[in-house]
Amino acid sequence: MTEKNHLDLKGKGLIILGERDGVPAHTIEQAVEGLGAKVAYSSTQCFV
Amino acid sequence: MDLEVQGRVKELAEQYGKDDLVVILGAPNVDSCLVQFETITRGDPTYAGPLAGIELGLRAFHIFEPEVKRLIDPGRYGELIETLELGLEAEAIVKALQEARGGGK
Amino acid sequence: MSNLQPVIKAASAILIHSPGLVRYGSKPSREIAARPSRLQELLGSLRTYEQAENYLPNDVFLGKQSPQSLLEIARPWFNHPPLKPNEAFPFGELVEEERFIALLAVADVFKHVHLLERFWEDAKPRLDRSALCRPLVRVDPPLLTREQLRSEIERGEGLPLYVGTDPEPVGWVRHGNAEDESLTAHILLENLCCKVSAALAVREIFHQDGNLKPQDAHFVLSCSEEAVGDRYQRGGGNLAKAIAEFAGCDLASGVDIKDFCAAPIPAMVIGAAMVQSGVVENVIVVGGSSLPKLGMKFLYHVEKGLPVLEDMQAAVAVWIGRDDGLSPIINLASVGRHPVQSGAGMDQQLKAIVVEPLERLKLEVAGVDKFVSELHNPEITIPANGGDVPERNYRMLAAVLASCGKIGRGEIAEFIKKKGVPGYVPTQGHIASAFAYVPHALRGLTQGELRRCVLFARASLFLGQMTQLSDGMSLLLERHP
Repeated sequence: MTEKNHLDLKGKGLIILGERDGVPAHTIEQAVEGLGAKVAYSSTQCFV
Repeated sequence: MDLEVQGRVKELAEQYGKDDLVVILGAPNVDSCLVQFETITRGDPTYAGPLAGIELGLRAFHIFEPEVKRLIDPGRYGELIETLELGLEAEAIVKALQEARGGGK
Repeated sequence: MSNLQPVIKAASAILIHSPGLVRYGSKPSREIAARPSRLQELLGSLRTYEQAENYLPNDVFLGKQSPQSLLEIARPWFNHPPLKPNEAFPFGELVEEERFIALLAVADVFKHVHLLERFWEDAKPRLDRSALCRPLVRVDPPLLTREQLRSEIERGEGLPLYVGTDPEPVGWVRHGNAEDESLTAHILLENLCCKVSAALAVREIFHQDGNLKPQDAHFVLSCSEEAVGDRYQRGGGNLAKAIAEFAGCDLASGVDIKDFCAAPIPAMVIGAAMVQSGVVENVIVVGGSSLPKLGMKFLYHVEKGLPVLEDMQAAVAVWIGRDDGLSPIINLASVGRHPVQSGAGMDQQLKAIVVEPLERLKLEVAGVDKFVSELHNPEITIPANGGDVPERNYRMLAAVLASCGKIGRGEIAEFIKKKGVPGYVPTQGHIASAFAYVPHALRGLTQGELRRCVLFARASLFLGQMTQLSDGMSLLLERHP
């Protein structure tokens, strides 16, 4: 696996690790909607 | 990384296989971002959780990184993420992850 | 009716040095249960009372230093020589653990908390000598001999109480009911810590201002983080009434306001609305301490050779009353809310709770002296990879204001420095969410130079796993014209 290949999310499972003070999971989900990935796990952490 | 989350990531890695799984991070700063990246690729650096000593080698990107950003409609990205980029140390996060990835698999 | 305009007449702050209780914080107790050797690591990193008393962020919390001093004195603060060592704390007191543990037993009307006889003999005179604590001691607590305490420990149906790093327990908390998960010793201890610390903050108001009397308090709103209840009603609540009773506010009733960390802001809004509408004349909004938050980041601190800095319980109380011609005004027309449809990102939250009210009031950024939000002590959060939380909040607020054209992009750094407040609160959660700043705001808006400050707070509702949403609210405090 090489990182130089362009990333393609189609057909992939997605793990979304959002953060309250960064980018929350819900926002990331909205951003990647329609790219053909399936959200396998999505959660927003709150470290403070 | 929360132990519960580590457990879920491990389960899903076993279920999907590393080639069919991508992790997207939304951490707000370089330090927490690197800890998460390390945990998902090379194992929990604190040796506290289910991913202690487990090299999952998953592909992980921050939402700010060009690899992910280029896939998203620019208007949508602008609406959802642009101000967050302005308010967080986006460039530093992207640079740190590129360096961390460059040294790995 | 202008004479019902709500104002802040008083605000107090209390810190309780709680090294012996850190082991019962949520993270420490789970870590020690998984790895018992963690207890010794924890005990080896606890501070003395003197170290806590001379710690700059604690000085700021209790008003001996201004928040500005945190920008003038470089970190590390934990080994900085004491500044103004013999001066009193203007906003309240730094209560030592012995008095607090004794008060836990005194406050426990169901007599689950027992104290070692010898401990009470030592603690009682300390309480009697304290003008703050003495009014709270109306009954003697149940006492145990050393042998009786030993047998309680052997039976194991409760929790031992310790002071500092002393391995000898000084008391015992029994489970409230063997068949009720909501009345375990741990939960009773948590709730009692909140009750006592809140009552101390309330009493401090009467101690500071002789014009405000317990019988003038008509309503108490608790914005604390505990959940009082039983197995049939786990969050039944109204710790506020228990606080009112313990603090001697016999003419008050109360309710609890729950909104995760943001609770103090809606509590102040609701309290001010009750005064403005004439429901009651005076409301006390109080945030009691959170036992679970003690030692939250202790592993990081121990690993990096720092003392355990989350060894303080914190409580704040605010008195809201009717316009008296001089106290700072709570501007209820300014309230910013976070409706369901608002976005999840911090930028969307801040747009809803800060920018929208500014636009609605036609208030320029230049017209607000301070935007006050999360005041977590960076010396606690940075070693735990959490960054500088206040700075992050202001950076994001500045970015949002810039993206809305309220300030220029080039003004972001200046905004953070001038309009932000650096962090100093020893605990995460409700007290850190702008609430701890209210005594400073009161001082600044009366004796100082402040004209307006916006307090805003955010709540991570998703932690309760009932919704993915967050919440937030803001409120404007203004100098009396």
